[in-house]
Amino acid sequence: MSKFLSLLKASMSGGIQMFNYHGKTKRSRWTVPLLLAAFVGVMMLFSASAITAELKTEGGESAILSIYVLITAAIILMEGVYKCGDLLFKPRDNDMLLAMPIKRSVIVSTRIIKLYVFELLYCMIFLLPAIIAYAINTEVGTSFYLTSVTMLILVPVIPIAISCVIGLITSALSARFRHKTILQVIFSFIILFAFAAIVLAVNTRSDIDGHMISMAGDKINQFFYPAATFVNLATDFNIWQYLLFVAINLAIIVVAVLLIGKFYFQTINRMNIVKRGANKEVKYKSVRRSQTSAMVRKELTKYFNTPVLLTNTAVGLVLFIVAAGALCFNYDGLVESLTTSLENFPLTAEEIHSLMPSVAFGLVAFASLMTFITATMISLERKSFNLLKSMPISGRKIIMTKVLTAMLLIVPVTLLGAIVMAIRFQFGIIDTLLVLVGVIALPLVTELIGILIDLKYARFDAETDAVVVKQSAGVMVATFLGLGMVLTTISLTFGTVFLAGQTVGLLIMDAIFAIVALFLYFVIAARGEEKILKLTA
Amino acid sequence: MIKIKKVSKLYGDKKALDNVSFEVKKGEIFAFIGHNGAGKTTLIKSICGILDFDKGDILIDGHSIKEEPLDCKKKMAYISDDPELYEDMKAISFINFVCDMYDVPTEVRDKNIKRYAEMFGMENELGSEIKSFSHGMKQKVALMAALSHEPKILIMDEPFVGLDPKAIFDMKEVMKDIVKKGGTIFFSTHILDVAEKLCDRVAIVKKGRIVKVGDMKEIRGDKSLEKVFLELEEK
Repeated sequence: MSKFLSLLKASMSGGIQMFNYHGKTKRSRWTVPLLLAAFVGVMMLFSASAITAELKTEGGESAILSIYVLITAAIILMEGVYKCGDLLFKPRDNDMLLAMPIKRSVIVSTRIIKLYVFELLYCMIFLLPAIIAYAINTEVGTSFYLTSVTMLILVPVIPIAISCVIGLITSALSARFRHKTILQVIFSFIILFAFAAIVLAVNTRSDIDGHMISMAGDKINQFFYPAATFVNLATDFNIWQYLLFVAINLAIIVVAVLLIGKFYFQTINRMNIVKRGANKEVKYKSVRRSQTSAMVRKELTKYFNTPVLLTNTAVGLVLFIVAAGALCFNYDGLVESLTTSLENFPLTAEEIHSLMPSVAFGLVAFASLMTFITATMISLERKSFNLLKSMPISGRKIIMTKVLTAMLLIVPVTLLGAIVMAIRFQFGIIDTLLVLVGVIALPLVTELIGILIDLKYARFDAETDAVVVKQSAGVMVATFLGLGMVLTTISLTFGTVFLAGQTVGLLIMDAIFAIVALFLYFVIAARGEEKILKLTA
Repeated sequence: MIKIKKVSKLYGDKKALDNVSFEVKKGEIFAFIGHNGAGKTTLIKSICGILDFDKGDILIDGHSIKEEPLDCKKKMAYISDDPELYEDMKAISFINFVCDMYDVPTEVRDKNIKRYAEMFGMENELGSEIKSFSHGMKQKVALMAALSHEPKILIMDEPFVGLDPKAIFDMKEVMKDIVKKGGTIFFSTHILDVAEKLCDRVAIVKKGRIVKVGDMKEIRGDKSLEKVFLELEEK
């Protein structure tokens, strides 16, 4: 037990180092990320309160608990699937720990606990507001608070256990092949889409009508045990059901630890084997490239060889492709289901069609503002950042090549989607141009903000790439900021479009983003060099 | 070639470098020795423009690293003690990347890559990803990349750590060859034996201060470098 506690303490102190960036004081380092987290939590509280008040009129307020338990669990599961492989099997201290007389299950359990503690943040941001909203809108007893605290603690357990097992499977499978990285990405996406397909299948089976949220709550309770238990315990507390729930969660995590522990050593061994291709005779005929071109190639190599970064930043783009594809190829069906299944839908089919440039702009905004690729690009340099700094390349060029790389990854996807939508829905020339300006301006603003975030929160001592990409202060700030920016931009776009007309509305949005991009560029031009100099790996 | 003028660097309250001044002349092999935490790496990083320093200046071939960092860096190559290279790149791609940063003409880099690949026995490894290499092989790749752009000044932090005996021998030969062609080498080391045999001049650093600097004869007198170093450490 003492070994477990010592290892846990060492492991957790490393986790707390996420705030160990070049901040002024310890307190100031925590301020911005936690304020942003609190802001998102308050937004969630408002939305949960509004939904609960609506549900209360129909006597189905407990559905809020089911929905938010599922949302929280789904977010934790998806987060976990991306990062479990890296966090469990790739930490730098693996060799040191495996050489010590410590059981593998002890190592695994400390890794899982570290992951769990971080995921508790999602419970605080998503589940806690729903619990507060429920408590405000209904009469609850003491047992509700006991149940709620237990749920806040235990809701991450099942998704973490599942994602750890998935992490084990993807790592073990991909480790058998030479191109592990790309296979890990493919396996992660297959699992993610399989999960999304199951959720969609459940939703399709539910007959959505006026009581749709309440019905959705019932459906969730049918297939998701923690949600059903929460609702049962909240409405009619039963000590045996409560104890059974705690016992089942504990059993699940113990089984996951034992299972992963059993295959831990051999998976790490396989992952550490880097299969070299057959020795090919190198032709000493080089191609001379400019600094910018060489840097972009280097950044692209890093991007496509970092599965956790690739999967993390590709989600927005994949969702964009799916949404744009659905609109282009199933437009009539979507419009019909919107106008017929939703009572009081304020737009006619013709009006929806005329708004498609704004929809395209909104989709581009969603894909771009959710994709903060640059927010980790400096931190991912790790110790090689010193090597880069020793070379005759200016700090401004280092920054701008990272922004350029991110643009090269995002713009082709959004540009293609926007062009296809423009052709499919026959946008006017001006509207098409305005959407295309957005295709450049929106990711440019995102990536310039992303690089400024990384310049502020950069740290080079993370255990794995997954820690940089998923569990760093910079990424927390980027994620919450991205969520806020998506909501604000889409609301503002449709607000200005409805107020000033589509062309003027899009023009205003383009102008706003172009001005912001220009401002950020000048900030980087003025202070980037100095900021780069101050960072040392 | 390298002029360090009253350089000081603070880490919080701790003085990592305290008013350090000395000069490394053109065509010299200069060793910088001191115990762990004495300030060797801090000075090396400051010379290379990796680390900012609080006071003083460092001139590289007459240019200030603070005022004209790019001009200074064009003349130098830096090899870290822990060769953290771009692991996902193939060795040949990495070396070409470094050459691109220094704008090396293709014929020069091709000639140099071939030469050093043969010298370090890496001809058959250049097409492999760096992450598949051992520490010593990574060190060789770092060295090859540094030498491929023919720097006037080679700055190395503990260059012999992790190298096999053959590679250490080759490394020493390369160092001699560079200075023969008018280059300058500045490196930190713990291996006093190598410093004694290889270097023209030495500086000994203790708690961020230079306690002795001069040519090998001045420093040693009748004693061995090891003995001088240990005596200075005990003071």
